[in-house]
Order: sequence, then C-alpha cells, then structure tokens
Amino acid sequence: MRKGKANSSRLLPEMTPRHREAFVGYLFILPTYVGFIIFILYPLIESMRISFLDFSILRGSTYIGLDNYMQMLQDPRLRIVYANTIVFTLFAVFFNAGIGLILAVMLNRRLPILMRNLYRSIFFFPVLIAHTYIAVIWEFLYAQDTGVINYYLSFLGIEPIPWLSNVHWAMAAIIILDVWKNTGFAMLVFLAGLQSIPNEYYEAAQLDGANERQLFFRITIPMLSPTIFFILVIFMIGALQVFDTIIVLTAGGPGDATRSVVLYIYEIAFRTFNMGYAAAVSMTLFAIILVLTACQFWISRRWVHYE
Amino acid sequence: MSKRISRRDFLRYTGMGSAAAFAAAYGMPLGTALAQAPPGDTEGHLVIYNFGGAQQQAMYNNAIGRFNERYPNVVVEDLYIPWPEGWGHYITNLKLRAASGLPVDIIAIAIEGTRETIFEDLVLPMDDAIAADEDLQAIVDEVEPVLHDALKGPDGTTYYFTREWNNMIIHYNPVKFEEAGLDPPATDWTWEDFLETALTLTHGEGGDKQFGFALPFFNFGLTPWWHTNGTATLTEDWSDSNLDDPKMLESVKFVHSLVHEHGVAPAVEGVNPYELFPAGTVAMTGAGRWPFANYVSTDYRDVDITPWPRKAAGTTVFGSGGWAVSKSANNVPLAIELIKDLAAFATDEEAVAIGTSLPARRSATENEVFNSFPANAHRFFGSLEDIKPVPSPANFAEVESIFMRHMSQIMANSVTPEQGLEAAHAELSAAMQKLAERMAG
Amino acid sequence: MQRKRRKPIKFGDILSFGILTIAAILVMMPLLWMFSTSLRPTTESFQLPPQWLPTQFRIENYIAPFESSVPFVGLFINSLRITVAVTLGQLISCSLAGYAFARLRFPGRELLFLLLLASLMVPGQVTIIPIFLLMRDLGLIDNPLAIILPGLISAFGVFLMRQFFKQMPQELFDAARVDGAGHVRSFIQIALPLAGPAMATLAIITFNATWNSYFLPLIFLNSWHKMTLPQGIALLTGYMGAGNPSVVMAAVTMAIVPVLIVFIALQRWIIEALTRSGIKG
Repeated sequence: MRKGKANSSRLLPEMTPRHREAFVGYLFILPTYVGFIIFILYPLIESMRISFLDFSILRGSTYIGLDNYMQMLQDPRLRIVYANTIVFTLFAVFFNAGIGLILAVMLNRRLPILMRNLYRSIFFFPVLIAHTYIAVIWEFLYAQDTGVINYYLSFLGIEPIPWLSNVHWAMAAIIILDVWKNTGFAMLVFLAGLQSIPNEYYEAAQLDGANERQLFFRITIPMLSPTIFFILVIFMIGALQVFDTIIVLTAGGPGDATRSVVLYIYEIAFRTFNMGYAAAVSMTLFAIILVLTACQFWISRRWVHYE
Repeated sequence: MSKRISRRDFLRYTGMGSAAAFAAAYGMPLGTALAQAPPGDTEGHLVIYNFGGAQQQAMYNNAIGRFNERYPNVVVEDLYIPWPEGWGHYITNLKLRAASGLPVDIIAIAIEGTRETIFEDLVLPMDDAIAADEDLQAIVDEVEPVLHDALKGPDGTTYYFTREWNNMIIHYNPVKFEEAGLDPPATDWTWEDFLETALTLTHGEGGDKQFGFALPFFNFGLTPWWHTNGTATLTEDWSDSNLDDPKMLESVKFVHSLVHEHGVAPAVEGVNPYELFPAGTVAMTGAGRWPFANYVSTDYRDVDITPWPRKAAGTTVFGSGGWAVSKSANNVPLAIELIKDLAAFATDEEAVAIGTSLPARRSATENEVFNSFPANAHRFFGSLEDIKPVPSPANFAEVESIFMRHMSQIMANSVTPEQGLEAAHAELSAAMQKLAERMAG
Repeated sequence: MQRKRRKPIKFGDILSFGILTIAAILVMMPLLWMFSTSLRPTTESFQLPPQWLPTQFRIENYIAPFESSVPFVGLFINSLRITVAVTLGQLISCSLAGYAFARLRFPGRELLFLLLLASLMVPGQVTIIPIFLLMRDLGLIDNPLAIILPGLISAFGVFLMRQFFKQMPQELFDAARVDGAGHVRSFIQIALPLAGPAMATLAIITFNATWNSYFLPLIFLNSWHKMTLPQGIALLTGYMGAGNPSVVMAAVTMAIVPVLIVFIALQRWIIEALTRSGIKG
C-alpha cells in the first residue's frame, strides 16, 4: 500500500485518488482523441460545411443555405435508397448475427480440437478476402442462364432464378453474399465470448438439473449479452453504410433495386460531382445512425448483463 | 518599370506552369515559345496522369525510356491509375490533384473524359504548338482524322493527341459457326440476319447450353445498336436527350427481345461476355480490340470479327483516348517532347503486338503481326468508313449512370421499354439542362 | 494434477458436427473454385458444370504477375509496412482507451465515448474530400503516412476493447488494488495479459482491413513505388476488364496468404491466452 502510493506520487503531483483515476483516464484516451479530432471530427465538420455549399473542387463554391437539404425532400430516389438500406440492414444484421451465433455455439460443443480450429478458420476465411476480388466468383454463381446455382437447381426441377436481374431476388442475392462474407466475424467474436464464460456456471446449473435449452437461455445468452450487443451495434452500423458488397455485385441495380444510401452518396459525389448534395445526404444518414445507435444503447441497459 | 524579363519573372511564369501566360505577357506568339525544343541536357521532372492495364503500362514505360535517351536528366513519373473504378473516379482524383496544386504535366484520358477536362480548364490548347512544330503536325497527320477530331473541344480546338482507340465490332467463334453449318456472317448483314444466326447458334440444356450471343451491357457496348439504327442517346451536338426518338425505342426493344423474347442471349446481370466467349458458352459477342490482350496471352484462337449488323445504317461506334499537356505543367515544351514519344509510331507498334486497344495510326497495322490474328483484322480500321464517336458531353459520367440505370430496369423487366425510356428521357433532359446552365454560368 | 473425467458424447455433439461439416463445405466451395481456376486456363473456368477441384496445375499463372510490369515485390513490402504500423498503433491506442472507458471513472466519460462511437457512423465516402485536402496541407499526398496516420486509431477497436474489459470480473482489480497496484499497473499487469482474445480479434480485423484497403490508397498513393498490393491486382484486371482472370485469381490467392498466416498464428494464441488466463476452466 505504502509502496504504491510512493510510486505514484513520484510520477504525479499531489492528487486525491479520484483525481488520479481521472487523470490516468484522460491520459489513456489521449492518443485516440488526438487522432479522432484531426482525422474524424474535423473532416466531419468540414463535410457539414460543404453540405451548405454548391461545392466545386476547381471552380470555387458558393453558399446556398439549406438548398441541398430542401432538394432531398423532392428526391424520389432518396426514399428508395433509404428503404433498400433498411431492408438490407434488418436482414443482414439478423442473419449475420444469428448464423454467427449458431456456428459459434456449435463450435463450442464437444469437437476434436483439430476440427474446431479447421472449421473456425473456414468460416472466417471469407472475411479475409477483399470484396473487389470476390465479384468474379459470385457473378459466376448467380448468373441467371450461365450461373452455377441455377445449374444445380435445375436438377431439382427449379426454373432459373433471376438472382441479379429481378428487383427482389437481387436484394436477396446481396444479403446472401454479405452473410457468406461477414458471418465468420460474428462467429469469431461470439466464440471468444463463449469461451470466457466460466465453466463453473454450467456445472452448477447442471447439478441443479437444468437441461441444455435451459443452460442456453439462462446462462449462455445472459453471459453473452455484452458480446451480442456489441455484434448488433457493429453490424447495424456497418449495414447502414453498406457499400462494398453492393458495388461489386450489382452496382445498385437493376434500376435502384439494390442501391444503398452510401452507394447513392458515392455516385452523387463521384459521378455527378455534386459534393454539396452528397454531403447533405450523408448528414441525414449520420443523424439516423446516431439516433438508432443511441436507442440501442438505451435499450441495452435493460438486457445487457455486465458482471 | 521596364519590360525587361527579370529572372524572377521568368521563374514565376514558368514555375506557375504556363508557357501561354509567359508568351502572352511578353507579346511572343505562343507557337514561337513552344517551337523550340528544350536542349538535351535539360533537367526536370514530369508527371503523367495515366490509366489502363498492366500490359499497356509496360508499353508506356518503353516510351518513357525512349524519351530518356533524348533527355537523360529528366525524371518521368508515370502515375498509372488502375482502371476498374471507371471515369468518374479517375476524373475526380485528377481534379483533386489539380485543386491541390500537386504536379501533373501530362494527362491521358479517353473521349468519355475529354470534354470534362476541357470544360474544367485542366488542359492546354495545342493548335499554335502544332502549327509551329513539324513533329507534332506529323503526329496529327498520321492519325486517322476522325479519331483526332473526336477529341477536340466543342469549338474545334485541339487539346489532345490520339493515344489509342476502340470500336465495337462482332467477335464470333468460327468453329461454332462451322459446327452449326453456318457460313461466316456477311459484312452487310442485317439485324434480322443476326437474329436468325443467333437462333441457330442457341441450343442445348444445362451444361451443354450454348447461346448465340452475349450482350455487352455497358454504355459503349450498347451504342452500336443505336448507331446502326441511325440514332443515339443524345442529339448530334451532345447537348440534349434524344431518348424520345422512336428509333431509340425500336432499338431498345430489339436488344430487350434478344434476351427475353428470343432467348438468344443470357440475362445480362452478372454476365461478363469476355469470360463466356472464350469459355465457349456463347458463339458471338461484341467488343473492340481490347479482349485480344487476353486472347493473345492465353493463346485463344477461335475468334474472328465482322461488322455490326445493320438496321437503318451501317454506322458503328468508337471511342478514342488522348494525351494532353496539363495547364499546370511546369515545362510545357518538355512535356510536349514527352508526348511525342508517348504518341510515337513505336508505341502503336507495341500496342499491335500485345493485342490491346487499336493504335492511332493505320500504318502501324499494315503488317503481319496485326493481320494474322484475327483473320479479318483489317475490319477494325475498315469500320472507320462509317463510324461515330460515343456521345461524350462534359457530364458523361452522369449521362452514363442515368441511362444505364433505366436500361437495367428495362432488361430486368421491371418496366417496359416505353416506360423506361420515358423516365430516362425526363431525367436525362434535366441533367443536360443543368449542364447547359453550368456551361453558360 | 487431476485429469478431468470425460463427459459422454451426446447426440447434439454429433448433429452439430454434421451441420458444421456441411456448412464448411458450402462456405469453401466458391473459394475452392477460385483456387482451382487460378491453376488452369480461363477458357476452361467458366463452363458448366463448374470444376470445383483443380484440373490442371498451370504454375505459369502464379509467375505471370511477377513478369508483368507491376512491381509486386515492392507493393507487397509497401502493404506490409502500412499494415503492420496500423495494426500495432491500433492495438496500443485502442487497448488504452478501451480500458479507460471500461474501468476508469472520469468526468464526461460516457459523453466522450459516445462521441467517439459516433465517428463509426460517418460514411468514409464523404469525408474523403476534406481528408484529402488536409493531407495535402500536411504535405502527405503520395506518402504512406497518409494511410497510416488516420489508421492509428479506431472507434471500433476502442468499442471492442471496452466491451472486453467491461466483462472482466471486478474482483481481479479489487485484489490488485489491495496489493497496492495503481491504475497503470493494473492495466499492464492484470488487464492486458487477459485481453489476449480481444487483442487477437482486433489485430486480425485491423490487419485484414488495412491489407485489403483499396479506395484510400487509390486516392492517396499514386506513384508506383508507394502503391499497395490491391492496386497492383486491380491493374492486372486490365483495361475494360480485359486481363486474364486466372492470373488475377493467382495474384489474389497469393495476396491472401499473409492474412491467413496472421490469422492462423493468432488463432493459436487466442487459445493459449485463454488457457493461461484460467478463464476457460
């Protein structure tokens, strides 16, 4: 006790324990916050400023007040891309988290250690491959008349499915690709969470005669709730900004059927060079994600269980 | 103050990068300022903003090597931007560099982006330089006029020296034709002949399924269907939407019917014709010469070319690319010397050998290498007799994205061709209106 | 040491083993096809029925990238340098901040955390222009630091570490406190050694994301001795996609190897860390 105090008082000026704790806290977040202010906060404020401009990189910009925001009200495509993004988010979060959890729970059962390592690597493998590269493979899988999936389905007597050329199927195709690509990440995080649940809890419950289902819902889920919460938040934020998966597979088509908000923003900025409007749209997306995440945090207080 | 050119002024003007400003300030005709090639011991640093695939990169490296034999003390940096992101990204990146004052001396771009760079004042006019320099004049003279003219500004000013070009022409598999007992397509075949041929070539089920045609489903690849019907997406002067032309509707309906009515072409989404064609899944597709780079490197030989089938006209489409001197070039005469090597006959010859886009000079194709594969290689330059550039206004990236978005809805059967073109026409008209305002203001 | 008595194998264990096997095969098939395509000529790759397994072994496809004008060895080193710097930087900055937000009390903690978290919600596609202009002012265009510096911090990483540190039993820290450990020592001697799984997770995610990062380098790094591997592969795909897909897939396969090595290495480490920490039981 005395030794510790002597140590810290040499480093720090006279402080009460509470002050010292706060000081260390600020010190620890300092590197992150310096980077945050320079590379995130400043560009964000700058984007906000751009959203009030008729912005041109080369010809100078003019201040146009809320015009960019007013334009959104009359933009029918904006409604479509928001609807697409919400549909994608609901399904992608549900399946990525759900399948990831099921895989993790199954991997956490009795399994030869070698198989567990192998399967874990396999499920995580797609996460490691950049989106840009997988387009070639998945187009070959999905093509309506010349694709692999429909080829095998034809043996079951199923008519060719217009995976990428029908407005509804195209969204399904995007979600399937996204789950293939990303659920391995959820699996890995769930597995780390599962393995940190002390075995004693299960043993104690088993002594009380709990069956597997009860173990799962009474111990696994509550103990895993911080991890589940983490995955839900991360996948929701990621899904609301979905870009890569779509641009490589359908580029938003057919028509606007799979266009997400961020893809729309990117196209306004880089195809029609209307940076001001792109910034305004991204401000609304930012606001919406912010509100939804705040809601998730608020709801989480009711069900997330920290030790 | 005297009009004597001080050393500082000189540095300022040349340093700011504008020989034009230098010449104008001192009452010198621009041509004179440019005509004198810098001496061979000139030191300097030139940056090229360039694009393409790996094979072309090697080709331009060789051109730079030839330049360095003449100017050993000049360091040339080739900012070679990978292709896949398309023109929108390429131009935005260029604008960012320009706006940031980062060095760019030579700009390479295809017709899709030339008007944008001219409108944004990124490139220098070259007419005076050409008039004063025999070598430049020779480069212009050797290139097919239609290719050179397509890269000019709206007022006819020359900014670009032709870098390469592509047309759209039918690639067909002679073996598949023979198997089906078909003669090679006639050079003046019609849409009806084409459809009949495609029907004959479409057969089989499952793994043996073969399609007559793979539809190149991108703006440039679709354009011959409009041109061979005497129409286009934009009006002649590229100033307004032409999608309300009944001939456009007729053409779009025909393209649509190839997939949905006659089933001679696979559904377009997720299909890369240049993978299916060498795999033997389709007997015909359309492209320029660019897929030959892959045919040559993989030793794929079952291909010949024939003109696009005609409806009301025999006109196909082309797109050319060019080299320009950037407005911010720090030594314009030196940059021009480098362009002479980049746009040299030797580069054209190399392009012929590796099988990439067509060379700017017809003379580079009058040899065995070019004419031995495909058998009818002469038809590439033959198409120049009746050809039009792909409509490329200053808002090209926007035009392309509007049109292709509606076109994909039509091909997905979520709207009829009539509805799709009507909606596309409304949106495109508004975009062209906006462009006109931008140009005027 | 007493050996634990083995529990009997249950039906559920066998069932889940079966399901996992089928799922693993389905997940692997597209990648298997990619790999076998990288070993044969393209002309035989897009046919039906698809050839899942290698039918030929054309090693030329693997040599071709190195014979092209793309300086792959240099690009590989560039990518590795950027990726290692970013990964190490994030491990340090994120574990520090994550610990502070999870375990230390200071005024404004919740607000500062939420503000940081909010940065996850900014789509990168729009802040790219301000960041480009900022990098220009810092003189960092065409400099790997333009990619490294913004990568040194991560709101996601802080979130991940915070969740992990929050789950640690309070008793561990109470015990340390009784032993006279200060906050810094508690962090270094107690929290960090137990944070192996989370650090390994963060490391693999960051390593992977940076290694595969394409859009940022595309804008910030324009000269060839500065570029990264994905840009080189993009160049192989050729003008109008006219490159040889088999060669591209060979290059992609080679590009995956480093990430795979890191993952396999860390995977072992996760288990070791878990076993040593005694949490697993």
